[in-house]
Amino acid sequence: MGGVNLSANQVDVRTIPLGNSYQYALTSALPAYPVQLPDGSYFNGIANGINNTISIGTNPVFYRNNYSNLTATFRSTNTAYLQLKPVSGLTIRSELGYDYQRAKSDVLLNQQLYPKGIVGAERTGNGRATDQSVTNQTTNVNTIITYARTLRKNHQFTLLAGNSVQSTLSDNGTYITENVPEGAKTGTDTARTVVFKDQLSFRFVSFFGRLNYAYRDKYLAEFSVRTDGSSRFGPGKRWASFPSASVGWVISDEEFVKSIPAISFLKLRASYGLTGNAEIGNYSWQKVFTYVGYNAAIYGGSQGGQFTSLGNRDLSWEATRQFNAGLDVGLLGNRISATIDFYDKVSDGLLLDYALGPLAGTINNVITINLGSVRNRGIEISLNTRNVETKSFKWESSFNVSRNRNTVLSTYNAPFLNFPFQFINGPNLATPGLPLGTYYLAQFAGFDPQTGNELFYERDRSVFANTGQTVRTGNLWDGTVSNQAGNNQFIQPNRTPYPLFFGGFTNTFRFGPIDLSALIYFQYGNWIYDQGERAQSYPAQGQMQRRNIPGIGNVQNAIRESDNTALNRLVWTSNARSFESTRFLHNGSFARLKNVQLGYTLPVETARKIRLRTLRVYASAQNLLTFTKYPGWDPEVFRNGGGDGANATLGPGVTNNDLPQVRTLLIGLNFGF
Amino acid sequence: MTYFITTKHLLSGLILGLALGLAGCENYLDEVASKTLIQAENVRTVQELDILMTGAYSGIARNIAFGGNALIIGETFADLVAINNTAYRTAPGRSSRVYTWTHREEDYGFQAEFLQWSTFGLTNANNVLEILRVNQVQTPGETNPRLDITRQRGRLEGDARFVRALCVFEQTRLLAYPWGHTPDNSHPGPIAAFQSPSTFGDLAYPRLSVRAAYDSVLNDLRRAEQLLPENYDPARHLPDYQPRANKYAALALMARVYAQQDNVDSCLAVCNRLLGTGSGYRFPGVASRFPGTAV
Repeated sequence: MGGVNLSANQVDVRTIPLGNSYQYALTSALPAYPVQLPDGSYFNGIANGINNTISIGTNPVFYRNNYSNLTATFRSTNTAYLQLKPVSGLTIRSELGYDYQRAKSDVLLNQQLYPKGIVGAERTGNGRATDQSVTNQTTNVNTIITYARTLRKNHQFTLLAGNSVQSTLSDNGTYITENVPEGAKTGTDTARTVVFKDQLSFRFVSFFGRLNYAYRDKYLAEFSVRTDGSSRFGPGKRWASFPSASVGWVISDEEFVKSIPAISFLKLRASYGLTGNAEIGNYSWQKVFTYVGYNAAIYGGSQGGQFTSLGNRDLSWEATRQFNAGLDVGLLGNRISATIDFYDKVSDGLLLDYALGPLAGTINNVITINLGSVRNRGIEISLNTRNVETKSFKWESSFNVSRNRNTVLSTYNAPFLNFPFQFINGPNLATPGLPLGTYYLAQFAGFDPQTGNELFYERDRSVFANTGQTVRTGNLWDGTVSNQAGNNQFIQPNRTPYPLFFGGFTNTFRFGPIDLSALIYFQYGNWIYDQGERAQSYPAQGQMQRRNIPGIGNVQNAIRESDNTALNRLVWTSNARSFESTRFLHNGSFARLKNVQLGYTLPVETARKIRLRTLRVYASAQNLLTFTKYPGWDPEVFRNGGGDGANATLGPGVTNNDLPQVRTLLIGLNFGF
Repeated sequence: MTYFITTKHLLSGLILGLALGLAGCENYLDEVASKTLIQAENVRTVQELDILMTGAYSGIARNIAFGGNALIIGETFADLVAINNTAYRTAPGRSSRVYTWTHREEDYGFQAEFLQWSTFGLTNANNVLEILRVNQVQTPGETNPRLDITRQRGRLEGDARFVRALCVFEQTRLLAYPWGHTPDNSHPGPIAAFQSPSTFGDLAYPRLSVRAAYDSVLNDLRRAEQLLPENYDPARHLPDYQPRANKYAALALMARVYAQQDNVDSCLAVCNRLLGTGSGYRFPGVASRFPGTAV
């Protein structure tokens, strides 16, 4: 038996450069500025007057009219398989997959947007065309052999063995040309065209096996092991094995439980196993140098090379060992069902980029290392109930809640360090004994009653140098006058970006043909650092103010009432505007009506009369209501769609005027013929 | 019976395939290619070593790297090379990614800039020496002397030792108390490493003493003097070598190092070697120039 599945599609997207333009309305493109001047020319804002640079924020309309970005994406996904069943119970299946993706983008900044002599021009300016092409090809070959057999009626065995080979080849090239004539797509100044052209590849090879055993479907056991190899690690470090085992007991199949009619299903399960992670960049383990298009290494007219990274031959897989125990319960004919899960997982040898400082003699100054360990321990509970079940009315509820406790167990330590290394990423840090991403900020101590200046606590430097603990000296420093935040940051215990618990509650009602469902999402105990609020709490050039500012309150009221105490706290270009402090750290707990949907389904007979198989009309709304004490725009923080690297792990609670969750109202009609 | 054999064959084939697959995997996972990145362990040609050496010189040749000490390049190379960095100040982004991303001139100053660039010279020089030490580059049957490693090996090693000596010497002058600050010169010297780190643990190398630093600099320069050619010869050298150090550059730097140690006799001796026997420009001995002084 075999099969082939081929697909191909192409999408052309013309992008308007409005990514964060609404943010610029708060800074360099203030709403008070005109779009065009009376003579028809575009108002370019204040930035253009300084150094002939043009950014999107200067005037989004001007930018849009002189910019084009066309991206053509082609993707073809192809799979084929061959399956043999040579003897009863034995299945051999081979799968071949080939995924081809090509994205070509042409970005054009015309002569108005990118004039002659612009700062930062590669060459002459006068228009700039960037043509980028990225091609990714991934090939997968999987072979799986399964053998299932039942011995003496009650003993079921399933044996699985297989391997998987994955190879990804990525080609990318960027060509920049300048001096682009009107209407052209590329420039005539091609003296420096190849900016970056590279071909990267990585490969994974895996072997895996699994043995399942079931006795009368009542006692279940599984043992599996997989060995993975990755080209991202050096010789001797490429391969790692990850075994796991699990057991299950369907208690409800036991005679002594069968006699209890209320219990319809009861299962106890436990598992322990290892998993691996190799999600790092290619070449991280190797000493590699670059020379193509790298101007900094030209000497005496010859192109030289310099090392991008010194590599790390010890680099290997990050491993997570996880224990899991769970209980599945079904009561009253499964009208009530619940699942409780407890997990304890420890990730060791976390793959992290360690900044080496500028004296490593490499371009990137980063070494990727297996460093430190983190524990996540938690419990997840879900409960589903069918509350009412009659012919004309049905009501179902679903509730789930999760609690996760995260602790950094270790980071880098060495004899020459007084305390284990503290990873700091923006206002967040990772240090042993505390949760990942614990906030680390200058500690706001209120305002000076005389001057209105902002005061901050001073940190004891010798205690910090010896122990890493942040202890107050009893002195204060004036942040309005000077920025001393670098030596006076405090660890904020129990202030992390992660909630103490979170969950959802869904209710679904059906009255005959009408259905109604609502989902409430909630989270509690997470903290948000609002960088946007910080920027907008200090008067400065080209900077909008928020109406409500922490420590000042409603600014309009303060002006109207000539409240000098409040107004004294607004200091023009205060030094405090350039560092992060606890003044802008807020509890981000919230509950939100994420989704409501009301629908009407036409009875089948009626639909048939109008020659339709089904017909459904519905209205749905997202994010209708939010209950929170968080003063910012939106407590559901998604920083520009999520950061990467340390930003994603340590700083998910940092927001900087990010686009709030959109409130959507949707009316829809589904019909089937 | 036939059915049984088929299954057996099939399974044997699969097991054999799996075993062969396993054996080939290590190599399969080796094959990572890139058009713009060269892995140090894949360096196989003289040209690639010269790319690294050019990178080493480019690191140390920036005028910003040496601040006021950039003159040393002039001292040692005479008029062999002109450093064109006029655009560097006005558009740093064009000259250096590192500069733009990690440094701001006003924060660090020339000295820190030099420190940073000296590490580029050191990293490349150390790697060239390590590649040569394990005989990684082999060019059997190469008839072009400019690409034959057996003919270029000495020159490349001399180049690398010269750059390393220059970097370590300048780092020492920048970071350490001067020669003679302690009677045995055991006070802390440069942060330079004499091997290219391969693991995180390698980064914890001890800081050299000033004595060890000067010893290593002089040792590198003595070897460089022996190994470097007298001049660039297009028949024997790739054009890349043209603006680099020759044996006289090594001698000039050696004289400078002795001068820094207040070792006037050795300084004069090296200067005289540099100027050549019988040269009219020989320096007189200190004793004859300043009779009555004991140096």
